[in-house]
Amino acid sequence: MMKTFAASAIAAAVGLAAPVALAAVAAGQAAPDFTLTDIQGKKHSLSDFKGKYVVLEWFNSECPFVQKHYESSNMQGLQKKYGEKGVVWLTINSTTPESSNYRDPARSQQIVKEWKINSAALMLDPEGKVGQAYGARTTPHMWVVDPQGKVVYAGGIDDKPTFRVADVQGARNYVAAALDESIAGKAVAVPAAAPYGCSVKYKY
Amino acid sequence: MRITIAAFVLVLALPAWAAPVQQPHSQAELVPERAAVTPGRPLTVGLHLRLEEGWHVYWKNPGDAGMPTSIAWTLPQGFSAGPMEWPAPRRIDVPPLTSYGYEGEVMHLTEIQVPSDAKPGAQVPIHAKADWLVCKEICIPASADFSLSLTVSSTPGDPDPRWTEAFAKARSAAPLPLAGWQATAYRDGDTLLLRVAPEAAGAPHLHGLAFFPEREGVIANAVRQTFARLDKGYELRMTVSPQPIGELNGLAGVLVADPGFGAARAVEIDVPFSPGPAPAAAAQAGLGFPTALLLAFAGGLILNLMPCVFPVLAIKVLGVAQQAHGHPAKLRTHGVLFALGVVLSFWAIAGLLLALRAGGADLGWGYQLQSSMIVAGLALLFFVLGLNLSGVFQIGTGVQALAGGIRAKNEHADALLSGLLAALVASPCTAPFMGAALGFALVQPALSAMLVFTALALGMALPYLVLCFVPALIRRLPRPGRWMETLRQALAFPLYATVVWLVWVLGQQAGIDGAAKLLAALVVVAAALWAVGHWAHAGRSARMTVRVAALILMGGALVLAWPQGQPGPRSEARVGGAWQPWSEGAVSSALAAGKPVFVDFTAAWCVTCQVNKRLVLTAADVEQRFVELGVTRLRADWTNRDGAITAALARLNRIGVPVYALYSPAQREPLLLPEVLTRSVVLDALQRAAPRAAPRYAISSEPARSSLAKKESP
Repeated sequence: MMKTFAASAIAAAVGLAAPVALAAVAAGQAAPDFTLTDIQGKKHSLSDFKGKYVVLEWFNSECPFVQKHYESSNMQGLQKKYGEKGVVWLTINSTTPESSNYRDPARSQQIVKEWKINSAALMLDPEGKVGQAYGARTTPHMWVVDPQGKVVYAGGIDDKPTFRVADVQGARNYVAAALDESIAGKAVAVPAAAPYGCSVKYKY
Repeated sequence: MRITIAAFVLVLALPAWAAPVQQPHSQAELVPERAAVTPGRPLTVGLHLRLEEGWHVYWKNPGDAGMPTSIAWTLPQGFSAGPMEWPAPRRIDVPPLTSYGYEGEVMHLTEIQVPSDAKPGAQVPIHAKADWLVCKEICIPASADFSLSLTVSSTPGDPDPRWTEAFAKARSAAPLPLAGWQATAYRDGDTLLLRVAPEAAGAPHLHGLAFFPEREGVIANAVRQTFARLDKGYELRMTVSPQPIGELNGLAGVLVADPGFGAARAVEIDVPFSPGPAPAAAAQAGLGFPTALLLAFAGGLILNLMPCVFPVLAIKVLGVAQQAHGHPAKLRTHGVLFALGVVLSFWAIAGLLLALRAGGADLGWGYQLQSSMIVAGLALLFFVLGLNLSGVFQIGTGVQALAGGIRAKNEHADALLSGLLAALVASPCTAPFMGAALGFALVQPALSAMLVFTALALGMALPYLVLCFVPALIRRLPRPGRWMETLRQALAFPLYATVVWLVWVLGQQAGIDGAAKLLAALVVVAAALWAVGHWAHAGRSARMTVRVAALILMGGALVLAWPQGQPGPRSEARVGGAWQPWSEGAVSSALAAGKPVFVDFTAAWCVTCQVNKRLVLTAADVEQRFVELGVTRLRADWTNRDGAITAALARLNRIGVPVYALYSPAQREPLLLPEVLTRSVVLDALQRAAPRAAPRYAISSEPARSSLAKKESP
């Protein structure tokens, strides 16, 4: 008994909660599979959508940069336009329940309704596991995955890193460009750009 | 669609003199350096942001998240604004992300060109719109519209005295072109190396470097940058961004040095990668590798005498004495296994520390005890060991091995285990020489670092190895007898005292409720083990029942003692009286005021620190000397994890506490005092650091100041 106690004390010392080093998925790499539950309680895996283009959008309704793209209807417009072309748009919220920005599934359903969000699913990642596996740093932070499961774009939504709604006009939208080019069989001209916005409110 | 953009308030300042614009958690002001505009002479205008404590704004490259502050000008015909300037930023860690920005306050300067045909007497309207993002845990966008109206005058007016200091500060914080130093950059796989070397002798000695890349997608922002001294110059090691953007051909950005590159604290860097691998450069961190090994070995040896290890190891010696007349070969195996246990546990703790640091964690030696769970676990462990020594119960193997039982079932496992335990209980103590050696280890490649830790472990195990290998020594030990039982029971008391101390540490970390829960758990454990001891000779089934019940009780005690949630608030209440809480700013402002500064880097769980504090730092004669010399006393409390303190320790080439640093306004580098203090050591150091105490030094070191004083006196 004594021995196991000492051993577990040592194991506890050695197995201290390791700080999470952020992984990252860059353009050209395979998009790692994940499974998350959407706000209606339905599970979705990335691998369910093999053979289709998938957009991953990191989301936090309380972030002014996310609000910029929804208030301007920019994000809903992209979701609708590419949804009609068969692109699966997944919106992911990695905010920890410990943050004041956390919105539970019920509240998130209201937001989806009020904002008329058109993505295929809004999924919560309260432990931040998927966000940290992809290296999602900001809201919004975008990934475009091709039908073979390869990342063709990772980074910011456009080239105007501001919170002003007016700046959506005239910005170069990297996600739309990557989808258009990729669907047309062309190489993606800008496969990576700096993400901008609020930090993802990870559990730590 | 209703989306509430938090506090998106635009405040129109009144034309004439721009009033400060108050926004949630920040305040902005647009300040012309002079009230008048002179034809043909540029005018500097500052955007001053003042932030609430804990909130920050961003640099031009915000790092992992954020938005740079921006300003847009509307100026009359013929006037033009240059780019907004960025003072050197600081690193802002919001794990697992890292941003670059400013806390407290920041002043961004912009130079406005004034046409030479501006008519004296005319009014010049200046409009500017500033956007910034202020974040703590959450982010709030802020904006301000400023309108100023300045009069054209043929003679430049005086600078506004309320703002001269802020302008001077902004200028001194601006990065300058690198001069007098050579910078080179190398890429080696995922590692980026930036080296700087002075071109001539007499350059300042650097304690640390921090690189801020000009654009995103170059370095992994959150990964710790490691600083090393080379035989010629300095090196900063960084990691390539896992989300690279664009081509990576070199390093461009701002390099900040502690204390600075001469005139500049921060310099602009723009160097292409040199081809090929970086030429080998011998690292030297004040001490060389052999010296570090030697110091670690000596530190390990002395560790045996430190208060947290001594009681446990005294018991170990008793065990050896009891076996003294057994087989010499068996004894030798025992010694080797014990040493192996010590080495293995130091490797485990050090290996984990290196891995976590490589992952970007701000941790140092003793990090194990920054977790209240480990502290609670150790308290329970010491208490159980104490009860065993007191004879409350006798069980199994582990305790008996520690206590020197001869009939241990598996002596090999016992020897190994007691080695592991010895290293674990040693962690709260830092012995003399250890600090410098471990500080050296942490800036070395992993293999060299592990060798230093191995030397430490071998030093600690040496006395037992010698004892087990030299039979002549064993024969000198007194024969086993009744005295051993008496000594054994007596040795329980230092263990109980250790428990008292650990409960106190937990109280600092988890509050009085956490400490009370731990004490309650100790009572439950005592009851359980008493039952085990009491019915030790009962029938087989009764004995088993009691043991199972005891196990359940002890499991319950563990759950009870398990500290809930996060460590309590920083125990700044403990920093009382003459001692102020430490911060970089507190050190520099005291030095700027011409006062010497004494910093006590300490932690509640560090026994050596507590002994020094009680016996030396608060001794009447030492305190009196502190007061006489006007020394500012700061305490950096590392009981809980604190990245700023870890970074400050790293700049002193240390990774653990205690560290005692004495800064004097006349000297660039602090004097580091030994880990184990005596009153005379502190008094001597104070004498040397404080010029006022020794007029002889004051006159020879500061002739300029004294002649200036004479000139000013009437």
